[in-house]
Amino acid sequence: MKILVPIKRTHDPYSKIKLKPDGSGIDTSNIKFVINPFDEIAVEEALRKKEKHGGEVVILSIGTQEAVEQIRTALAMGADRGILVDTAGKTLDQDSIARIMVKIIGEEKPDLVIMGKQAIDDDSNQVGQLLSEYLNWPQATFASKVDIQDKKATVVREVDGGLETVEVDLPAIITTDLRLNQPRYASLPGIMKAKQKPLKVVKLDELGVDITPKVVVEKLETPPERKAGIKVKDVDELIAKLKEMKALPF
Amino acid sequence: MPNGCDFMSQIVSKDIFTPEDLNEEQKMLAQTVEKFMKEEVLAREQEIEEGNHEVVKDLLKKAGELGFFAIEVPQEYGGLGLDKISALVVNEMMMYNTSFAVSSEAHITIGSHPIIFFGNEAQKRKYLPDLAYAKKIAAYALTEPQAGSDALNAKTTATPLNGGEYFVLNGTKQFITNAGFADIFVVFAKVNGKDFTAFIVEREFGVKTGKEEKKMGQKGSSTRQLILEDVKVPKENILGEIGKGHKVALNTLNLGRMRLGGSAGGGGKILTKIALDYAKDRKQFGKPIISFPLIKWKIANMASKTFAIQSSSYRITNLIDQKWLGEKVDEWQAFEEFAVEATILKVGGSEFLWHIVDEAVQIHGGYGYLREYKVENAYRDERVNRIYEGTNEINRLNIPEMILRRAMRGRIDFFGWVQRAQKNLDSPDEIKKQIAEYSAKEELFALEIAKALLLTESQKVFSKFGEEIQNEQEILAAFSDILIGIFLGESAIARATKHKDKPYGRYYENMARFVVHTYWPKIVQSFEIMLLRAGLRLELAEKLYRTLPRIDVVELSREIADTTAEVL
Ligand SMILES: Cc1cc2nc3c(=O)[nH]c(=O)nc-3n(C[C@H](O)[C@H](O)[C@H](O)COP(=O)(O)OP(=O)(O)OC[C@H]3O[C@@H](n4cnc5c(N)ncnc54)[C@H](O)[C@@H]3O)c2cc1C
Repeated sequence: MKILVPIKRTHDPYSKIKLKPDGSGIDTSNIKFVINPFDEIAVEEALRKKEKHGGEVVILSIGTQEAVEQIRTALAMGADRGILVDTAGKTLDQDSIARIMVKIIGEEKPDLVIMGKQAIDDDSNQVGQLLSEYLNWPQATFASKVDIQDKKATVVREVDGGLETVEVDLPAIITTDLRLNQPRYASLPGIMKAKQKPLKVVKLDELGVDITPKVVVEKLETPPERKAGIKVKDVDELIAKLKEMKALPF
Repeated sequence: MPNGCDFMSQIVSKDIFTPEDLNEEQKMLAQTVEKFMKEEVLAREQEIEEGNHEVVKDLLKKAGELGFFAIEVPQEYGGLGLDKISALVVNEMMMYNTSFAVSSEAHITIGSHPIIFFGNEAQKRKYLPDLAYAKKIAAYALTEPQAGSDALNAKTTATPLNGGEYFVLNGTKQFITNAGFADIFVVFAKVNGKDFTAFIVEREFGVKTGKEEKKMGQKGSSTRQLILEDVKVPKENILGEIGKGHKVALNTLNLGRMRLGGSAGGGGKILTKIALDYAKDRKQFGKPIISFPLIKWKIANMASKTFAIQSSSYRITNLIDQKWLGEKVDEWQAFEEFAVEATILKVGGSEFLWHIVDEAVQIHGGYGYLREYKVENAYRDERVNRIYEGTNEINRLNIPEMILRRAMRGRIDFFGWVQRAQKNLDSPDEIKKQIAEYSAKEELFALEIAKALLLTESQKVFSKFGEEIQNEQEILAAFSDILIGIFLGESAIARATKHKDKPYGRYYENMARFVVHTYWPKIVQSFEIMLLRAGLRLELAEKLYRTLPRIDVVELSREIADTTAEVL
């Protein structure tokens, strides 16, 4: 079974984010980058399925040359080869990303695509769904358990207040939720092996995908800073203050 | 090809290896270890610091599975066989938790390297594959209750049995890291009470251990006596040759000292970040304390000292790599070649880290005194760095002793160096010309003059005292202090020079300058100690004082702190 895992280079969720002064994006000068955590879960799931059913895990990233670092990390975890679509720094919206993936999937013909449900940088939660639409493949989003048997995937999904189990025919798109698994560490021998694994770089222009954006990010803002609190003596004073602030329904 | 002590008679190269030169794999190794430290080790820090050694053992096993200890084990024995820079990088990251770091060091650096360096084929095949992945854990047992600094004065005996088929070991080893759970001990004992010899002793041969020592710090590491009562060891487990135990013991310590000094760079970086974050957060008088100049000075001091340690440790570690990978000499010989530099790094690194951790506590104010804050722990943990792997006193004595021994044996051309130094002192403009392209060139010039003076003056001092110099420990220590300042300072300058044109070039230059200016009084004082004690004229030394231009260090400190606050 061939599994394709698209991954995105995002900032480390633990690093403090600063915006560029003009609000057009994140100031990336002093932050660390990682594989988007949801995508890392997808890599782990793909590796587990490969360990069980055999086959190949192919990593795809769309971004600048720097994303090679994240592809190598996935290879170090155990994936077999990588593809980078080099965007040379062009800004792409989610729809363009999905259509670029369609191209690569057309060439690679995987049996399954597993990817994060969203990237933690822009939280848009769209690419998996768009991809399913463009490819006309079934989708199972927000997976918290995945079983594969006889060209079918049984997926447990986390929905509001409960679980839903769905079955999809392969090929399919599965997007991962946080509780699906605990990703492994890239081992040190794995890191050394990753160096030898094939990594193909494709130029975005060569794919002939129209990347005119449908959505443009106008502006980013950080949440307003929290104001300092005040200390109150006792419950009475607390109630009085809350009333004063009109924070009580009575 | 580089040789040990070269730095004493040469201007530092502009092309030393620096942390910025790591390749992609080395960066990934560091990232993986950092992730492991943050997610697995720090998550259990409380248990570790409560002295739960089972947790440390589990974590060592987990780290072992991920290959952390395979780095330096040759590929023939299941390891990765990587260079020493890769090991340094991993080492630095382990400093997120010192108890874990020191347990790892005891296992792989001093516990397993005796076998990597001196094991025969059968011993390597038998032990290394398991040690590489922490399936077995190692320890190094040299110290005894009455033989600490005087380590070769061991009382532990090895008595041959069955015509030398077996050796029966009796004695007590003191302060053995990992003793609580190690499977394999490298033990030093005297065959027939006289020939100092190393043995590989398995726990299963019947060793006992004392109770856990209650320590000031590093509470998560296991430290116990190793008690040997009629322990039968087969002759196959003699490590190296009978009577050559000192070779195993001392060469392992050369590596241990390098590593201890190197890991101080990792510790410094982590502590600077913790202190900086606190200083940005903590408000007094309506302002974050980072805005106060005296706090900035501390941050500048921490960042610059860390910078100097790392500049030095990457420099030497790479020289060692060039030596053993490039010249195909045995690995241990490469460490022996650079034993003086390793000792400098051990003393300099551990003392810089001491200053760094002290500043970290001070920045935290009263909270720095509370268990709840990481710096309190770090402060206690750091203390032992100046005690083990040879106390800093012993190491300060070792530096000139090693140099003199090399001079005596003709391994280094000490007298040629002295002559060249004299020439440099006579025509200092020559030096100026040669360093015109360097960053912090005024500071480098001053260090070069100090270097030349150290050679010319120490030669006079040594010939004046002759054998008696042994009893002039203060002079020997002063000699070391000058050399330590020179080495750390010039390494920082070389790194700044290499990256002169990068956006951080100025920041690096500032830190290199700050290190030299703040260490300078110690160099001056050390010259005075040496010269006055030997009854020599101070005239030359007084000239030296004036070679370092007096500058406004405050300006440097503030700028370094501001940049550190931005980039760290
Ligand atoms: C936590 C911990 C872990 C350790 N782990 C290990 C381990 O795994 N394996 C191992 O073999 N050992 C280990 N050691 C032992 C350590 O290496 C020794 O403690 C160290 O070498 C000093 O020996 P000592 O404690 O006997 O001090 P001493 O040698 O008694 O020294 C006492 C003081 O006298 C000074 N002194 C001694 N001789 C001289 C001299 N000639 N001139 C001037 N001053 C002198 C010393 O510098 C020191 O200040 C460990 C120690 C500790 C505390």
